[in-house]
Amino acid sequence: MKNFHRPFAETFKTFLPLKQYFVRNWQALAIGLLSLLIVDFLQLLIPLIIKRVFDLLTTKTAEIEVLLELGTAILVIALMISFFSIRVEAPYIGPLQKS
Amino acid sequence: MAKAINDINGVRMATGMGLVALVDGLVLGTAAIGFMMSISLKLTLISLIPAPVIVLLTKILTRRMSAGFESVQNTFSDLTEQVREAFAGIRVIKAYNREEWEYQRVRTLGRKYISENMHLARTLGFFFPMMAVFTNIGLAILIWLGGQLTILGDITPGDFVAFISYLNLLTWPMMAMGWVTNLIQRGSASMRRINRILDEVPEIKDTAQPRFMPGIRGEISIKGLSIRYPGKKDDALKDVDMEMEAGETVAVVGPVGSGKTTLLNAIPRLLDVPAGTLFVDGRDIREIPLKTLRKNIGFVTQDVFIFSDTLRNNVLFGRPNVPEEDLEAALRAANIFEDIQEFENGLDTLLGERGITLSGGQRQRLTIARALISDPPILILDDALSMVDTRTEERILNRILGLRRQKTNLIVSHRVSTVSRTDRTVVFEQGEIVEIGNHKALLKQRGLYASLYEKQILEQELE
Repeated sequence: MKNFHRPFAETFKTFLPLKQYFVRNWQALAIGLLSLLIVDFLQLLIPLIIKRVFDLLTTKTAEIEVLLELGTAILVIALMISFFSIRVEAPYIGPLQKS
Repeated sequence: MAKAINDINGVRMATGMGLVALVDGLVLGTAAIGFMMSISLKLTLISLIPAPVIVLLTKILTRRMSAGFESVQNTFSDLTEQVREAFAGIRVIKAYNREEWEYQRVRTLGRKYISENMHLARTLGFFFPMMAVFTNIGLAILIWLGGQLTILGDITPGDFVAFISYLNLLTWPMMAMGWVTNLIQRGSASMRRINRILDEVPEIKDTAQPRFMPGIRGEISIKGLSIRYPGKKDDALKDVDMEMEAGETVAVVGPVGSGKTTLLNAIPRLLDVPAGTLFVDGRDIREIPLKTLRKNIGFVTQDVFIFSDTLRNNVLFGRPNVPEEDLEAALRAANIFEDIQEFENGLDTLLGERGITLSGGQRQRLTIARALISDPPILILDDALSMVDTRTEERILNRILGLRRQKTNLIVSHRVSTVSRTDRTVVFEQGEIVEIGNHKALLKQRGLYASLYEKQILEQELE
C-alpha cells in the first residue's frame, strides 16, 4: 500500500510550484468545479425524464401537458448544461489558465 | 524552445483538462453506475464487462497519440527551423552551389513530417472505431439481457431506456480514466523539467550582504587574478596585476586567445572572480551589488545584439526618460546619427525580421550608442569597432574620448591606430601581461607590441 501511494504522492508533489496559481484564482476555479458538478448532476437527470416518458407511453397514461412539461424540462436542462459548461471551460481550459 | 512549449502544454493539459476529466470521470462515472445499480444490479455488472478493456485501450492508445503528437510537433519545429535557416543563408548556399543539397535536407525533413503525421493519423483512426466496438459490445449485452428482463417485467421499459442512457453516459468516464492517467504522468514529467529550470540558481549573484555603494568613480585594480574555464587545462588569465586610475583610457591588445575578453568579462562580473582579486574604487567587486556594478559599466561586446524593435528602443534599451538631446549626442558620438537620418522613419524605424537590416558596422555603432547613452563611469569596448573602416573608427574614438575625458575607458582592439591613442596599453600573451606602457615606450621595447605593430603596418602597405 505504501509503495502504491508513494509514486502517486510524488507525482502530485511535482505540481506544487503551481500552488500560487490555484490560490490566486481559487474563486474562479471553485466556481468552475461547482459548475462541473452541476453539469454532471443535470446530465444524470435526463435519463430519469426519458424513463418517465417511456413508462407513461407504455402504460398509455401519457397526457399532452405532461409530455410538454417533460420536454420543456429537458430543454431547460440542456440550456443549463450549456451555461455551466462555459463556467467550467473558462478557468480550467480557457484563457484564465494563462495567467 | 519547442521542448519548453511542449512541457508547458503538458502541464497545462494535466492541470486543466486533466483535472476536469478526473473530477468529471469520477463523479459522473460513480453516479451513473449508482443509477444503473438502482435499476438492476445484475444488468449493471454484466454490461460493465467491457469497461476495463476500454480504460486499458484508452490508456495505451492515448499514450501513443501523445507521443505521436510530440514527435510531429518536434519535426515541424525542425522543419521550420531548417527552412528559416535556408532562407537566411540563401546567399551562402548559392555561392557554394549547394542548392540541391539544401533542397534534399528540407525534403528529407518534410518526408519525415509526412510519415509521422500518417502514423499519428493511423493511431487516431484506430482509436475511435475500437472505442465504438467495445462500447457497443456493452450495449449489445444490455439489449439482449435487459430486453429479457423487460419482457419478464423485472424492469419497466422506462428503466430499460434509462439504463441505456446511463451506459452511454458512462462511455466518457471510462475513456477519461485511461486518458487522465497519461495526462497526469506526462504533465508530471514536464513539470519536473520545468522545476529544474525554475530551481536553477544563478552562478553569479550578490554576496549575502553586499555593501551599498552610492556611485562609482571608475578606478580599477586587479591583484593576482587567475581564471580557468571549466574543463580547460590552462588558466585563461594567469596572476594578472593591473591598476587603472579613474578617468584613464587603457587599451588591451594581444593575439587571439590571450585572455583579453576574459579580463573584460570579469570586470562587470559576467565571469566570477576569486575574492580579493578585482577591485573597483578600492572595493572588492564581489562586495558591490551586481545591479550597482553593472549599472555603472557600459559594455560593448564582440557579438553585437540588435533586438527586433525600433532603432530608438534598441539604443534606449528600457530607459524611457533619456532626454532627446542626450540620445542624439550618443548617436553622434557613435557616428550613427547621419545613417539614421537616411531612414524614412528615422529613429522609429523598425529593425529585425519585419524591419530593415543594418550592416555589421551600423550594428556595432548602434550598440556603442546604447552603451554611451547612460554615460557610465566605466566604458568597455571589446573589439567593438572591428567592422568599421579605420577612418570611421578614428572619428568615433575621437568623439568618445573627447566626451569621456574624465571617465574610465577600457578598449580592446586589434588596430594599432586605435591603441596608439590611449593613455596606456596592456599587452597580453597566453593569459599573462607581458608589456605595459604607452605607444612610444612599447615600440621602443621591441617586444610583442612592436611586432604586432610592424605586422599591421606591413599588411596596410600591401593592401
